[in-house]
Order: sequence, then structure tokens, then C-alpha cells
Amino acid sequence: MSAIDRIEIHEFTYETPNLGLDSSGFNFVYQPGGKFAMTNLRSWFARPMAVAANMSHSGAERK
Amino acid sequence: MTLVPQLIGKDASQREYIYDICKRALRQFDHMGYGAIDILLWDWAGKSIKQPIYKMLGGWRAKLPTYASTYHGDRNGGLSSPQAYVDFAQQCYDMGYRAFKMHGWTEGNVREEVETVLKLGERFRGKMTLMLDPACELRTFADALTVGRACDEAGFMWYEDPFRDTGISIHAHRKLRQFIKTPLLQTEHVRGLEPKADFIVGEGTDYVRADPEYDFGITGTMKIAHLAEAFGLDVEIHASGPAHRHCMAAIRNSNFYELALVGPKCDNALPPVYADGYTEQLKGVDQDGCFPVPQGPGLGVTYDWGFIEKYRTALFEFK
Repeated sequence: MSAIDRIEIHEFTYETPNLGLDSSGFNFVYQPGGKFAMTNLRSWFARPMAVAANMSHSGAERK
Repeated sequence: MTLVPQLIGKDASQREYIYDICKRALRQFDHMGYGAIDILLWDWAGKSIKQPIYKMLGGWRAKLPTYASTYHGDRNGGLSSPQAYVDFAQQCYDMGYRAFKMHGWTEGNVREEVETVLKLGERFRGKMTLMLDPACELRTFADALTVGRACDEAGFMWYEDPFRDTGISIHAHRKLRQFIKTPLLQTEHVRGLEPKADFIVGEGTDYVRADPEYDFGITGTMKIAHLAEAFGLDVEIHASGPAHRHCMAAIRNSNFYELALVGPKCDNALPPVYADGYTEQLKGVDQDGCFPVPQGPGLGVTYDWGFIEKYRTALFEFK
């Protein structure tokens, strides 16, 4: 048995330039000079070897 | 995050068991959130036996025919007009893409959507496979019908999530199928195996959507692929990522990888977290209009932990 004994979740935020939201507030669109910050989660699984999986689009804020 | 403490002590090789208990646990949350966990378990399993996931799943291909899937229309000088979509499609064609999907404008203006569809068909019909995804922005069934008839005229391959039922009404889409010729692609917004089976049996769709992040991971996506296969239908993988590529690479009855989302003046918003050259940017296409399947063990990608730590805002640890 390969028991799961530890899980790390790394949350990070990365800004994509020239991106914003349209008038609905939900759709990504081109917006010159915009900075769209997207929060991502990345999990790390400890044993028997390190692997990772990504979950993006988990949260976002308009800047 | 809710599920993670429940995983401690579980056997990482028992993906079906973990899928089953998490499926029940998420029944009041539209079953969202399990995908990342299942993908992680597959990545671990692949690394354990030093095989890429798509080969563990059976293996069908190592290159994926890809469509450029656009951002939504804007009013800022990007995809701001029907001609702008045509120009961007031409850019994609020149780069090697042989398939192109447009997301229209949030206003759901039928005249504008129809004009864009017809312009794309006029320029690219016979040269490039075309698809339309209004992303549920059209306000009425009548609007969906009008735009669908434009897709018929322009020879589009599929018409996806047209209107404001938000893609969940089997009845409405069965009715729409009775009036137009263009095949529908539904089920992005119904979650997991059983509701998609209901959509197929109810004749609410022609192609079936599945997404490893939305539909219970790689385990759930492959169940859906085999469900579609049993009905003689194709499953089209939604959105981009290493897990998406491995799933499609192991599915015979699938046509295109979705490079989402791209536009003429801004990058794909997926963060550049890979240290090995893996990319979801427009430039990643090859001369045959394909994206590669990573060949390393597991997902076959290497993460740039320096990047992740540089932009990290929180760290949660469970033991």
C-alpha cells in the first residue's frame, strides 16, 4: 500500500498583462494595459515520490 | 480543499475507491473540485512505473490536432469586430492551425454573431474546421436558432452552449437539433458520467464534452469517453492542460485539442509554471496544426517551483 501521508497546497497569483474582464464581469477579454490576477492552486503529494497537479481558475480578481 | 484531509491515510493506488467516496462527498457542490486530486493520483502512478499516463490508459496517438479557441469579443481593439476574427483566424491558419473556434461577445447581439460566422465561413470553409461557442450568451431560443442557421450556411463543425439555459436543458437542445443541421456540442455544464448519459439518451447533443478538471479527473473523463464510444459518439476534451492532452491521446473517438484561450494581442492566461518548455501558448503549434503529448512519466511535465514560490500567496499543509 502506498499511503498518502502528506499533502501541500500552494496558492499563488500570477498577473497576465493586457487582459481584463468584459462588461459582464466574467469573460476574459483583451484590455490594453490591463493586469488580470489569477489565483492558482498546486498540490504536492509527498510519498513515495513528489508529484504535483494544477487547479487553475480557482479565483480571480480584477485589477 | 474540503476533500484533502479525507485523503490522508488512503492508498494512492486506489483511484476508483477515492473517486467513489469523493463523488458522494461532493454531491451538493455540483461535484466540482475532485479533478485536481485524481490528476495528481494518476501523475503519481505514472511516475511510480515510469510511464506516461496516456500509455497507461491504452495509448492512441502522440500528437493532437488542435483548434485555436479565442477569447471573447472585446471593444478594445482586439477581437472587436467580425473582421478582427477573420484576421485572427488567418493569423492562426498561417501559423499552422487547421481548426478555429470563436467565442463571441457578451451582449449576444445576433446580427454581430451571424455576420462573424458568415465571414469566417466565406473565408475559411474547406480550409479550416470552424466551431462556434457563444458560451450561453445568446438570450433566447430564437436567437440560438438564428445563429445556428448561420452555422449551417457557413459549414461549421459544431455549435456549442448557444443560449441562456446555460447548457443544461436536454429538451431545449433536442428541439434546437430538430431545426438546424450543425451538430451540437453540449455537456460542459452537466457534471460527470450519469448526467452526460442522460443528455445522450435524451438526444440533447451530438458531441459530448468532458474536462479532466471538471468531470472527476482523468478517471471520470475516461469513463465519459467510453460512454460516448458505446453510443458511437465522439467526446471533445474541454480546455487545455497536461491531463487534457493525456486523456485525448488515449481516446480514439475524439477530434481536436482545445487551445484555450488565445487572441491576437494577449497571451493565454494559464500561468507559465513549467520548467521544461511545455506551453499552452499560440506559438506551441507544429507545422501539422498539432500539439504534442508529453512523453515523460506521469503527466510528463516538470514544474518550475521557483516560479510558484516567487508568486505564492499561501501554503496549506495536511498530514
